Amino acid sequence: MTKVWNDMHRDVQSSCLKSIQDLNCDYIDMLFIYWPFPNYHAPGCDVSSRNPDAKRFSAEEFTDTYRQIEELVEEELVEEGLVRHIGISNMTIRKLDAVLGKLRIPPSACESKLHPTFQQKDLCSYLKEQNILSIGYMPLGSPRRPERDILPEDVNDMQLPVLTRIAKAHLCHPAIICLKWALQKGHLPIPFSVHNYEANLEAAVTEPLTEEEMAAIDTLECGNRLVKGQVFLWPGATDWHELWDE
Amino acid sequence: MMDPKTVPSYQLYNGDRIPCIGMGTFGSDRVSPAEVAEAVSGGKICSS
Ligand SMILES: NC(=O)c1ccc[n+]([C@@H]2O[C@H](COP(=O)([O-])OP(=O)(O)OC[C@H]3O[C@@H](n4cnc5c(N)ncnc54)[C@H](OP(=O)(O)O)[C@@H]3O)[C@@H](O)[C@H]2O)c1
Repeated sequence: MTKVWNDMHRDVQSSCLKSIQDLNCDYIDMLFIYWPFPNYHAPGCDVSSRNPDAKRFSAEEFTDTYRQIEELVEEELVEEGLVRHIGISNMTIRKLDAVLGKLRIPPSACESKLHPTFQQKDLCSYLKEQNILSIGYMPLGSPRRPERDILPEDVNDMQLPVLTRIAKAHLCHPAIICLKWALQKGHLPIPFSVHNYEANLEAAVTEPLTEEEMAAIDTLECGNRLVKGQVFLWPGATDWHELWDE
Repeated sequence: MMDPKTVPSYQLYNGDRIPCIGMGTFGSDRVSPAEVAEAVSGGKICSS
């Protein structure tokens, strides 16, 4: 799985071919549109960085980008296509409502920020109704996210007493509890780890959480949006809430 | 090492299946691409 970066929306095919070459594979299982509208910002830039050419989301622009991926999937009808499934990411219900009816091939999955203190329940129910799999990024609450995205009021999911208590009962790290919660919610979590990845994968096959434990974690929702996405703002936008149609 | 057959999967709308858990690849500007690549290939070995 890989994604079309937000500066390549007008040339999806060459982005896809470059990924195939870099990954040394023959095709992409699922190609994502990472951000629902184009914007370029340099790696590692500060949250105050803005692209003067940035524009707000437009259903026409999105469906044009999406259409380019559909063409890479549809090649499969004649020979092996370059892409098997289409993914989307960082969407909202309003944006989905604006585009879903215009797509020929439905998206297979949508990647969203999902962790115990940021559960996006309405978005997940909407995706489920549409038969779109919810992939959860930052499933552990991203404790080592870039400094630019850390604010004093942010909540650290894995330090919450509910999670440490349940982890103690299961003799594991709270990270594993976050993953079990996600899996039992029907999300596909994608935890980042260079040190604990094996334990994380095992979370899918070890003892599940009880109904009471699930219910206790459900109460942790507090709108804790850890990464706001300010660099995607366009000239004239009010603030980052506008990115998320809030 | 995990047996890949034991990892549950989800079904996508067209019937294809996908493992129920994946690995993140963005190192938050702290972990180098080489370290990430090593972990991801380790993850592939653990489940194959
Ligand atoms: N679509 C998007 O817009 C988007 C945005 C952000 C992120 N993502 C994706 O989501 C992935 C995950 O998000 P994230 O990396 O920000 O945060 P995360 O997965 O919530 O947290 C990763 C951190 O948790 C630690 N950790 C992982 N497993 C652990 C365990 N079992 N015990 C203790 N600590 C553990 C890791 O350290 P160790 O390495 O030391 O284990 C790492 O510092 C990213 O890598 C990226 O691929 C997508």
